[in-house]
Amino acid sequence: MALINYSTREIHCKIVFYGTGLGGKTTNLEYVHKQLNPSIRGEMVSLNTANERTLFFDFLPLDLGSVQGFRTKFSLYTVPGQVEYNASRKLVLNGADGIVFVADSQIEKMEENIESLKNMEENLAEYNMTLDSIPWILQYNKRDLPNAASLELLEKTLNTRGVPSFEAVAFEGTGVFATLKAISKEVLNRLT
Amino acid sequence: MLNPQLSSLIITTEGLNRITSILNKLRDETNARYIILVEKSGQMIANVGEDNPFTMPLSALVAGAFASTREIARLVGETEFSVMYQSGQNRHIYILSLKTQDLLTVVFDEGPMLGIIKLKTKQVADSLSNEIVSMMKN
Repeated sequence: MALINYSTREIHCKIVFYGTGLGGKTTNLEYVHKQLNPSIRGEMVSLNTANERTLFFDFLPLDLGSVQGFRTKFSLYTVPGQVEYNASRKLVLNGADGIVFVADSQIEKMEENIESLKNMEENLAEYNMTLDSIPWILQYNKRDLPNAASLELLEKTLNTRGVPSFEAVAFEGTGVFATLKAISKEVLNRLT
Repeated sequence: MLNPQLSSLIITTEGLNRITSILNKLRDETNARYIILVEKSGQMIANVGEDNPFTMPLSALVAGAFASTREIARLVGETEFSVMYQSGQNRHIYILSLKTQDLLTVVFDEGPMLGIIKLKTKQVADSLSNEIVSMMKN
């Protein structure tokens, strides 16, 4: 739920990184946190298990400049990707203004990607949202792996709506900021 | 031109002043360290009291924690748990869910103040809910 504060001249938006387990959602946030100056990002909060799998969510607040005289603040969240944590995924999606679907490019993960996308759609429906009503983009992560599916196959299988899509290698940062820039632009475009 | 009709919560200066006034009075009456009004998806609407660099992550965590308790309530057959209280050695946190499901979060030092906090937060809950409802646009 976007929050426009006319008193402080700020816009606050929530972006959720969704996708399969170990697909790179947390890695995206970790990279952003590592690269950005502390003056424009806050502390990253991670609620995870002992072996660092996301249990509930990761959270990272960002200050991404101004639009029409309003400072734009984004709260980035990730959901837990493991199948059994669907209840938590649903909770984190509440109030999302934009979504980045992080797809694992490995050919063996295609079915999981499809299931995760379907799961995202079902969870959005619980909030009366659809993939046509909320701004979202696709990130094809792990493009560096030898078993990465072709871009054509990923596009054909996952991007039937033709949303903006980006290739990425999140752990080294490739495509991470391009993805972030794109989703923040999509979200702000809806508000203007 | 910013189109507020497409967003869901519009905070005007007057609205924020009214909310801040309610929260400041609550803080005076309860001797709280600080009070945060958290929107249900985890964004901070307003805060009063001592400066806290962790207001944003705290708001996200409070919303996440409370969202968990809502689900727990549902699974155990309860409509909802409207209150959450965590007590530490030096610092305590009391969270009240408003009618709008936004969260009034009171952080305080003096454990014996809990009873007063319960009473006073309940007294202002409706006023805060009404302010939030007036700020909501679909």
